[in-house]
Amino acid sequence: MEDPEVENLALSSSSDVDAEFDAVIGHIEDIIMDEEFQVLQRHFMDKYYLEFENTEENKLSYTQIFQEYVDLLEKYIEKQLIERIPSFNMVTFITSLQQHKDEISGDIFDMLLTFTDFLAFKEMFLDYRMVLLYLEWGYILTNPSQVKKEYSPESVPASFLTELKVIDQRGYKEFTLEELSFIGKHQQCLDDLTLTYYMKVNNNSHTIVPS
Amino acid sequence: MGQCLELSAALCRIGVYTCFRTLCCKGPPSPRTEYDVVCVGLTGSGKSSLLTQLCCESTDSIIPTTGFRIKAVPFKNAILNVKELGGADNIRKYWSRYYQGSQGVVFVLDSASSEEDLETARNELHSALQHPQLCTLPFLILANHQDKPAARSLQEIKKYFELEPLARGQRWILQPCSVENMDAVKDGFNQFINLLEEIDQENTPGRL
Repeated sequence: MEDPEVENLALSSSSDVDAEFDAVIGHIEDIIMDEEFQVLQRHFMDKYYLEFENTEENKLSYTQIFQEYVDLLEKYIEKQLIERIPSFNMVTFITSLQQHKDEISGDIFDMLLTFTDFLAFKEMFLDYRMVLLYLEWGYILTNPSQVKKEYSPESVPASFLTELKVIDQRGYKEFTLEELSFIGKHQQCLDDLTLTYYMKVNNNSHTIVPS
Repeated sequence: MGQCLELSAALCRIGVYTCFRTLCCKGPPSPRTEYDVVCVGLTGSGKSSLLTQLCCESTDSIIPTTGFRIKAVPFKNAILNVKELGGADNIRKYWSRYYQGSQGVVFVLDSASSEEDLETARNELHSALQHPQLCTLPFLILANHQDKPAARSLQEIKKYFELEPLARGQRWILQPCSVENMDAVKDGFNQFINLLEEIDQENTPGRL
């Protein structure tokens, strides 16, 4: 029944599809690492993060914000992808996503999830809110998802927190992986808020985290 | 627009599954099917209380919902991802924004409410039954607060809400219940899940 030629065609086209999928993921990584996207996302988060509360009940406003988020950021990514791959089709991609979901690294998958899953989107905002809160207190919080319910540094496990002033003194060579990843993700926040923190603590004299 | 629906539906399956596991998983992942349903009803009808009880959580601190909730409620044969909306006057106008993507509707009413409120509930139920995004979906109508002395009976509710003439051609289940009798609630939901499964099978021809 099976024609070896047909079978070969089927195999080669399936590996073409795989290669195509990998290429898209590669591009998405580039796009979201790029400063333009980071700035876009950061401005959006800054605009709305105070609206989000860590309660089971969701405010009606969250839905509007979600819609705005999708319209702004998902469309941006789609537009960028089409520029890089003119034949790109979002629907085809989303279908392959379901099949390849185990192969994609956590960060990318989490990001893509926030465009379609409201709860993931909400988590993202709650995490950001915690991160900023702790930065204001002078700490880097490397595990925001674990501590959403805690609002004081004393009640958080020491391994989740690094004091900003320690970072400043230590230099990058001694950072843990979590700290590095945090700094990578929140570089802009860090720069802005470290200044504020130090100005408060040291009566306007400040040091800046090396970039 | 149509593309967006597929998009949402496709990733929502993974998304809700992942979130369910992160938020409420107490054991290995289950192979149960998931259905997205929307839960509406007037304020005070008991939506939040019933859903909370179904998740075996305490109902002590429940206050009127002013926004919406998303809860993954586990049953023997399926998991219902329930989007529950507040029912106060000023929130009801937003209900239709949350209908998209639903596979079924749970309508909760207070069997012991005043005549006026019962009429309002009837109007809302009729609107839902006739809404373009919901009119082809199965409805689970929970006649709640049966434990109160003023509660109307099943027959009275069926007659008052004109279910037989109005919901002709639609699939619905009318279940009397109260938070004191969760077995009746679960019974209603299990019947509802059977309906959802039937429809699922109807919509995928050629599948055994």
